[in-house]
Amino acid sequence: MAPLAIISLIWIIFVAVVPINSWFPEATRQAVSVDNLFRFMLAVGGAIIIFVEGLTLAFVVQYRRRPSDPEDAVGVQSHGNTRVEIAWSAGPALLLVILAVASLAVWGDEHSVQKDPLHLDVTGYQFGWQFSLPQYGVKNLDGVTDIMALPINRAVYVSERSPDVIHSFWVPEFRIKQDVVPGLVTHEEFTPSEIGTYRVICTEFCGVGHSGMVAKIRVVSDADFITFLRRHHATSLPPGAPSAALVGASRSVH
Amino acid sequence: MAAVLEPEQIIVGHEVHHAPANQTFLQKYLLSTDHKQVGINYMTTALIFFVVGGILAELMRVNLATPGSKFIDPTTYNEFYTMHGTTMVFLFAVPFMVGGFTNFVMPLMIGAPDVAFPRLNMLSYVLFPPGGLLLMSSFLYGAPQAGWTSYPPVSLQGPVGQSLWSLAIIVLGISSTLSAINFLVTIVNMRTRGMTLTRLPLFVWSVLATSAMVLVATPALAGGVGVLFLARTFDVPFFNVSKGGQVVLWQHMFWFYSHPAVYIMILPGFGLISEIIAVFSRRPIFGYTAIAFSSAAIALISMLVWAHHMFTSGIQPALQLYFMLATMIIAVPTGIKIFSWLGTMYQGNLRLTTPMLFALGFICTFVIGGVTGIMLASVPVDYHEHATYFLVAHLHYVLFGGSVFTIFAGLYYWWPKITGRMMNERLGKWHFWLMFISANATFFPMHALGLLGMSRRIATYAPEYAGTNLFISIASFVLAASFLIFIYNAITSLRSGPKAPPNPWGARTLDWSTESPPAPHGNFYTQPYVTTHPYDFTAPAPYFGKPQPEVELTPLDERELRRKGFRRVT
Amino acid sequence: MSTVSTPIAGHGGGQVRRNTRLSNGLLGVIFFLCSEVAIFGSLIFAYLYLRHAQPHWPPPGVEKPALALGAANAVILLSSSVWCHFAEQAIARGQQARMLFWLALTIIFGSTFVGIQAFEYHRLNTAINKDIFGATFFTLTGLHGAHVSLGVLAWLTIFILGLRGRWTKEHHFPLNGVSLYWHFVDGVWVILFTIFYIF
Repeated sequence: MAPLAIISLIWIIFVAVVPINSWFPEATRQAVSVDNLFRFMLAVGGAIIIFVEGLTLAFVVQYRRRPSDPEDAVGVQSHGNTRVEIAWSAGPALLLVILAVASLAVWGDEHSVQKDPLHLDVTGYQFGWQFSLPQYGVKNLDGVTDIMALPINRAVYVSERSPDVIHSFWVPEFRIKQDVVPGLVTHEEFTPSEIGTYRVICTEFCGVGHSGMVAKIRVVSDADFITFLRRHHATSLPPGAPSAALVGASRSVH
Repeated sequence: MAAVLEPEQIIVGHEVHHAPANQTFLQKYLLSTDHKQVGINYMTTALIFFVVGGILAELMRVNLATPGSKFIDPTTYNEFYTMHGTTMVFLFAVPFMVGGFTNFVMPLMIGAPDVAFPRLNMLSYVLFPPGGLLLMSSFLYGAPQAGWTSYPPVSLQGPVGQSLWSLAIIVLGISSTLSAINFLVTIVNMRTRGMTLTRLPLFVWSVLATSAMVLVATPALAGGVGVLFLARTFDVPFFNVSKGGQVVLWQHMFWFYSHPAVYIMILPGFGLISEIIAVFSRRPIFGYTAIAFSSAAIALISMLVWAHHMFTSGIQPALQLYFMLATMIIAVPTGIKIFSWLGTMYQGNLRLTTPMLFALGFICTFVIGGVTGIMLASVPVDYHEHATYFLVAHLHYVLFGGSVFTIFAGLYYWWPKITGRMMNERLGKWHFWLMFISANATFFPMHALGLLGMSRRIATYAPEYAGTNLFISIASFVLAASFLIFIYNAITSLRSGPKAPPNPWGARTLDWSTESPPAPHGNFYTQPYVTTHPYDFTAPAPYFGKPQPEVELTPLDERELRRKGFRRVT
Repeated sequence: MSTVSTPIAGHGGGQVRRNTRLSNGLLGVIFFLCSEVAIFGSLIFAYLYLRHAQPHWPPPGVEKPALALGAANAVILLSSSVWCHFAEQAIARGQQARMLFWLALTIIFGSTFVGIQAFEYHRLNTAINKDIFGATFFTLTGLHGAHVSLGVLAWLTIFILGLRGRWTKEHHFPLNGVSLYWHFVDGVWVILFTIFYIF
């Protein structure tokens, strides 16, 4: 038992200390919480695996029949131990309560109402993506040929729609996905926190073009976001933007 | 060891029914009403479909070995992964566990001469190959491509094969529901003398719980699949949004069955692992009552957690929370089982035979699958990992590392009883180690792929995943090769393996208290009775079969067998 | 440990020993009806789910079936359960003629239900694939109607066999089995009538 406890401890320390979060970019504030939650579960889960597999190995070594044992050697003929059984029922139950509470905390963060979010409309269709920013009049940006931009550190409230079949809107670096469902408007929220260009992947099988239903999305600085809006013939700009005339001053006709 | 029989115990003119002579092959085998033959029929047919499903998987892995592979076109790839999943679930795992093991073993274990309705049992089997062929025929008309989960609207768009898929599922569902009715009545009403519920072997407890799940969940699937068929064929608008339908409705109807289905595929496995670990540790199972209760608890709770497959489907937030909490609860009874198995090995006298190795390997892989399951149960983690290769890793750890390993454990364990021959132990060990190592090599890296952004159900992927995918593909070919060892072992055993004694493993359950194989119709020669629990290895093993002279092996025979890898096991 | 043992009393159906008061056949029917609960349950769930998602019910332009005729038909079906119960009681007392009388009544009432339902179908201004009301109504009542029809066929078979003197005071299990099935089918109709006609 003791060596296993030591190995588990080493594992837990490893998971806690080694910056595994950085092995894959965390591009939203929520991604950090999700990764930490996952790390916690990895630490605990890994310890459980170490114990179960370790005990299996240890018992095989310690209790295997020796050649010198008689043919009809038997093990100890007891049936159980109530105290032990209660312990290993209550212990995991307690652990699960902790995991549930930790999950609830992250879930609550992902579902909290943000002040003044950026509204992003996503349309997934067979087989591509279209994005819109209704607050600024950017309509139907074609995800195949163009790249949507989001300003850093501003909460985004995504509304997803599909005209045909179920798709799923996923940016792995954001750590959140929701299916795009015909007949419903589904939502997700996140706050981008790292500048970069990321893949948008469809993760619900939608037909023969499913593998290729990929787009890109960028997280940019506020200034670059303004530039992006101007370039896409936005009809309004975020407050505080330099008050140069809007390009064209006409509704975009993408 | 065979018990010595008192003369009074031998009934002169016993009434064990023998099958009439002059039966055709069809009557004697495929249309047999003897539960043992029905079980063999199921296992053989299911193994054939296991090979089919495996070939489909290997073809997929060839395609996935390199990014942008042109080995098969995307449509064919989609057909393959759909048919792989459907075949493995409905044509292999469920029939093997429910129709195969349960049929052969359960009546023997409770001391019954057969199941409650033998002709209904035969009908259950008779529906199985046609259902399977109906499913396979979809390849000729455009196989379904929407996954074994078959979500509309994509599944409404699919070719004719999708409708054939629906009909096949309904046929197979009827087959397994009839089996469930049969087994429930048998266990409730046909237990032999002294076989109270507290003396029921744990395999029977697990089968009782499984049959209850099959009974209640399978018809719900038939309802959903029937509606899908109507939607495709007659435009009945259950899932058509423009006419008032709801797309997510299908997911509720489908998963209400398909979540219990995964427990249907594992619970009998849990039961037989309990048997194997007790027998090869030579001590009573630790925590019998807890394990029995946990089977019932798992059966009940598993009916209430289906929407953890739907966290990203757009369901109400409050529902997401409920299903998360309910799903996490299932870990408790499952954990109880694993710890009880370890507790059984503690202070036991372990015999590391092939069935025992598969049982131990199962514990090691299943715990990994269970841990990743808890991770996926957490909604925020699932938001990221749903429908990625992390999920593919989890499901294969619990279905391959779980169900398949327990199926092999049970096959090696009951092989002597079913066939009357012994398997070769050395080949069995080779099979185990190769399969255990290659299965882990195949499925473990998939966790990383999913976390790093590889989605599932894609025929091609981004170049950064290439190295890992190539490794996985090569490991999967080794996995396939390991299965060939089993086939070779099985064939040589059937042809020329040593004859099996009634109780080679020294078990105490009634299935080992007959000849190997048991008498064709009726199983026992005298009415079995039990006076104690089924894991008492200090008492002599019961025997209620045909009286047999003790077969003494000459010293020469013994040495010959040892050289071939056999070991005497008590 | 006693050395007395008992010969096996034949296999399968001839098994005499049983662990509960109920026969294998009766248990089988009960478990079968559990599976029927599951299939009707899943379709009823589908109906309630779809209806809950609609702002108006029935959808605009669709009429629900007439309540009066539906209520009368429900009474016809439910009373047939009473008639078949009397048939069971009659044969339990060995009264062949009375059993046949009540069986005939059961068959007549059951067939009438199917006939009136067919008339209702004809009168409705929607179809199974026209709108969501039609889809759910026809699927559920259609499945139920199929069950009633199969039940009527079963009763007809039992009636004909009864004419040939097949049933006795000691052996009449199929009557009990089909009766249980029939009560179940009527119970489902109570639910369907409530959720489609009344509410």
